[in-house]
Amino acid sequence: MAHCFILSSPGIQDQSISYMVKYKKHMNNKIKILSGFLVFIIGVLNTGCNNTLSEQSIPLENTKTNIQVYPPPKEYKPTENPYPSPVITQAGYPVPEVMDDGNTSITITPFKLDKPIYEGDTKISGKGPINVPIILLDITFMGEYLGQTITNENGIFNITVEPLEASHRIGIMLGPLEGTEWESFEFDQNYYGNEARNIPLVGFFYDTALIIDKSK
Amino acid sequence: MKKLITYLVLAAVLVSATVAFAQGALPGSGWWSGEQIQNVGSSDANVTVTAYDKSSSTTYNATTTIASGAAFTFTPNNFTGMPDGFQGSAVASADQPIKAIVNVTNRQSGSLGVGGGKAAAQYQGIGHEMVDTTLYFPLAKGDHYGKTTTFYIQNAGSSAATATATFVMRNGDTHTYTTPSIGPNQMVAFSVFDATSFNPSTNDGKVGNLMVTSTQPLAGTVVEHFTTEAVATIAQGTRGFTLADFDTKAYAPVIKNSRFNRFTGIQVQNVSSGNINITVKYAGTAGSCAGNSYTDTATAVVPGASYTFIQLPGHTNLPSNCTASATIEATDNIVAIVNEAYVSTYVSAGHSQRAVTSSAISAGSATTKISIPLFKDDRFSKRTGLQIQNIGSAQASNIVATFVCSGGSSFTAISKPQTVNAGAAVLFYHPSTQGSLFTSGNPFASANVNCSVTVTSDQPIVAIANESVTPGASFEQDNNNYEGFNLAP
Repeated sequence: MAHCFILSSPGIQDQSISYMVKYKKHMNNKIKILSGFLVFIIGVLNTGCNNTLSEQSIPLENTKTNIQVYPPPKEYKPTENPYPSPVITQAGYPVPEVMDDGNTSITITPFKLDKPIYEGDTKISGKGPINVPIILLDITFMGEYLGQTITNENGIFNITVEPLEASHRIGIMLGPLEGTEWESFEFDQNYYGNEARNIPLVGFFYDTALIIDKSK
Repeated sequence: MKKLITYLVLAAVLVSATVAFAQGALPGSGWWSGEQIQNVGSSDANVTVTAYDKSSSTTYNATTTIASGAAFTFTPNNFTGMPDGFQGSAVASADQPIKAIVNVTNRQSGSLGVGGGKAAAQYQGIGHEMVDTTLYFPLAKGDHYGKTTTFYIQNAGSSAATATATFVMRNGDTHTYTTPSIGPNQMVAFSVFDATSFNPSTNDGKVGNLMVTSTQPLAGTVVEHFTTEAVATIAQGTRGFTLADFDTKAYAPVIKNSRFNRFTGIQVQNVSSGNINITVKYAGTAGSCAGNSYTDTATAVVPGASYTFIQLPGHTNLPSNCTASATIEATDNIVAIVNEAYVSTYVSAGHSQRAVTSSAISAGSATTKISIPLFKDDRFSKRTGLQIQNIGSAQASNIVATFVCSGGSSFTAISKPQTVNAGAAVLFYHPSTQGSLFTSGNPFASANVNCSVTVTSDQPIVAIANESVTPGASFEQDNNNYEGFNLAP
């Protein structure tokens, strides 16, 4: 029974990241690991995961592995931006909890609007974490409501809107999370799209896009 | 209501989307605002604030009567019929001259705000004499060391119009963005990221200045913030400049070099048509520089460009551990702003950043009377410092501040005439403990009050009001500040 905790953003070349992070969801009522069981888990992880993982050190808290030298995944493509930090850096990698539901591989997918988006478009699509309520707002017009939906079991979302006008920036904000398995604090920087923005007076947007004038 | 004689564009979002979606803790949400309006006329003022919905023609009104010299704070709760979740801009009108400041924050307060929200900013409400078809912002950032400036432009005219933003960056890059059509009284938000050509490869390409033009008069404000921060912890706001602000000389009452871990930067924009030389003259007021003078210079600053004077060791002739006031002089017209923040070493040691932005006050606007709509003496754990600078050529011997206060108690406090040397400043800070500054007949009776302040002088003066959390308070919040309004005596 191996527990491989993966953070990835498939399909986003300029911020493609794929490495292990703290397993954050669906763990609250699971069996807690006994400290003496830790060595066993490490062994399972080292033998039960795929090659990419088994080649990398697993920065468990007890091992004091230096997270700063944690290597980028093979598919990482260098950009002008610094390599993003894992979720847990200062505190060290936490001891994973034992799951009772078999192999678990968690993929963290940042929110991503499919771009470019042109004036007149009425279908807005993208991807994000699964089963998350999201709201699409017009940032340029101070958060005017455009539509909302819930990402499906594959993280895909589609929102139908009135024909969009050029030169507006639109963005995805979290919707009401009550009744979901999510809590807002879970959506840390690993969920930010490549145009995530804090817009004072309006809100925080996990990804944004400028509506393009077709004639230009 | 009597004849309307004052019309202020507040460029404010009144309520955040937090309420709209019935969520108290959505990341990034929770922004709300209040407007403090001071009657600077001689009679009672009947004041109406009209809120314009951002996406419809619906409006909501809040009205009150304000005594001469006093002030009133409008919050979303004051607007009749305003639904939860309302967002929009606002205009204040009155039958007396009024001045207003806007407070924006995401700090949790009752049903408003968001947990963990620390950001706060203040800026001037924009009077009819402060709108124009061209606005100038000396500082524009696009993720420059993690910070971005967002601009809020309100159409203060009577017809819908677009606005064109031209960004000139430090490396010489120019980027333009044209907004969608903006209806009368409506507002748009944008940043340099909305210019499709913006794709800088160096830090100097991420910082510059902005000019916004339109066929309709505009009111504009800017808020500087962290580019990506789910729950905002800082916001730095000030209004945009117009042609009326152009001058060859401007004043910055509060400048700091490593003073209690705070430092400032002065961003000066050349709004003339030729190259200019800029001189910043500092008059030390506290710390190691008290009583001394220093100078920094920049030469051949090209038209449209900005130059930044940073008050940190190695960047300035001003010594460290210094508070000063500054006079900014140029060989042709300029506009300028001042940023203040904690030094990076203090922040990296685990302290929260607190940052403010204010305008340098043009010499042409300086008078012998100033309105300060909001001053706090430990009201809900917030405290204001009011720095008044004598910008005249002679010693001032009759600077008098009148505080009209309410809250925990109501009283009017009148200071003794203050003597301040030319170029120097006087500070009112926690005046309930500064008994010697006040007359025996009108003492500053107690703390736990909000006050409006009117300052008169026998020399021209300018002022800055800096608000921060009371030392030892149980919570943390960003600092905020605004410029005093110079009035005709």
